[in-house]
Amino acid sequence: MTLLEEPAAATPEKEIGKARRRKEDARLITGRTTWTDNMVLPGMLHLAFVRSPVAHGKITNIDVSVAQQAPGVIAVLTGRDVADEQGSLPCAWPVTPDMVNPGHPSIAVDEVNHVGEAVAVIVARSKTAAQDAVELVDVDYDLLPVVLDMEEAVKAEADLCHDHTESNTSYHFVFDAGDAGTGADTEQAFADAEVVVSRRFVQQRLIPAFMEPRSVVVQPQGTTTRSGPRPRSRTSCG
Amino acid sequence: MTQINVRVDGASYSDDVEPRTLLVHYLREQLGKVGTVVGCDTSNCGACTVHLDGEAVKSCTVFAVQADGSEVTTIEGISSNGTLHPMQKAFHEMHGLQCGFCTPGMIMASIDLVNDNPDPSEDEVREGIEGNLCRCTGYQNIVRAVQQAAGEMNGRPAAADTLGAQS
Repeated sequence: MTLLEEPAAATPEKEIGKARRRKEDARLITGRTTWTDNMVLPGMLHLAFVRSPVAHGKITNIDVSVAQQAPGVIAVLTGRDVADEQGSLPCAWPVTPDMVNPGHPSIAVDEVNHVGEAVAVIVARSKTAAQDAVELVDVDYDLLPVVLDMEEAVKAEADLCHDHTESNTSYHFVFDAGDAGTGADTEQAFADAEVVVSRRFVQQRLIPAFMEPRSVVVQPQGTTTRSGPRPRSRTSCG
Repeated sequence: MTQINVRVDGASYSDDVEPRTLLVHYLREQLGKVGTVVGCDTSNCGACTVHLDGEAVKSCTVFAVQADGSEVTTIEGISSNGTLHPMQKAFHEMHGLQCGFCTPGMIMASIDLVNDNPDPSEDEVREGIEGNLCRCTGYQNIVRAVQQAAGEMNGRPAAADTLGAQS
């Protein structure tokens, strides 16, 4: 690409300290934007998820026979049905090289590790048919110990959140500037301080969770799966 | 199926609905009024707020049959001939939205609030919209937007130098 004209010589308007009106507001304040849930394709099927009511348990049996016969239901899939192909949600940023990732299957196979974990998925011709069939899936759980307190969880004798891991600790994130190599010796700084103030700080788990979560409408074509004509997947906000 | 007759955003509809159909699902799926959104399905978030005979309701907590004979106004019905409602204009000017998902419900709840209280204090705005959740903005600019719109809706134009979104 060739630059054909010199940039305008006029002094640009100052930007800093100036409120800017957004350009994308018109459709958002009048109810005319396209959310994923607005999109309808011919013959579109809908999913609904059967979710765990328990925080930790072994799945001993899932009976989907009644749900499979329900009106409008096309398929009912359990974690075991897709265990070999579903993989695990990857961690985009392993915080440390030795971080333990317990795995995050799309649908739980043998064990659930939190309330709300998906254990089966209904595919149906309408949203309501899918939701109705959720109530027809019968899941049996053997309850396992529940770990609720972070400080208890990292103790050596703690019950495990994930049975296949060796501890509940995923990684150690070094905040000490001396240990991390980004500053001087923290212990020495405290030792030399005229006054040392100790306080306990508790911070909530931080999860950016905008109101329309990541979502997508998919149009399968032939043997490959392609995104629909106007796929929408929101990946960042807030 | 039960037949209902409703007026939505000025148009009359006569439809058969299942008794369990929620008003929000009737609006979205039968009438195509997809400007009103479902945020939580549990009546926590208020994104689905519409006016039912002039009062703000969470349309996921109202059955469509309960709207029989009523007038429903959604976010799609408050501007006319390309002129934004003062509340819509204020949300834009005060930067009262980011992703925009809560905005339809936030605007409809705020209009009802100002109809009841023409000059709400900051605390009154915060209390008035406590049933509506926003996950992006932190509410500061939403409160400013509601107060600006309250002024305009009640003939109190704000002094230009007191306005300005804080972002």
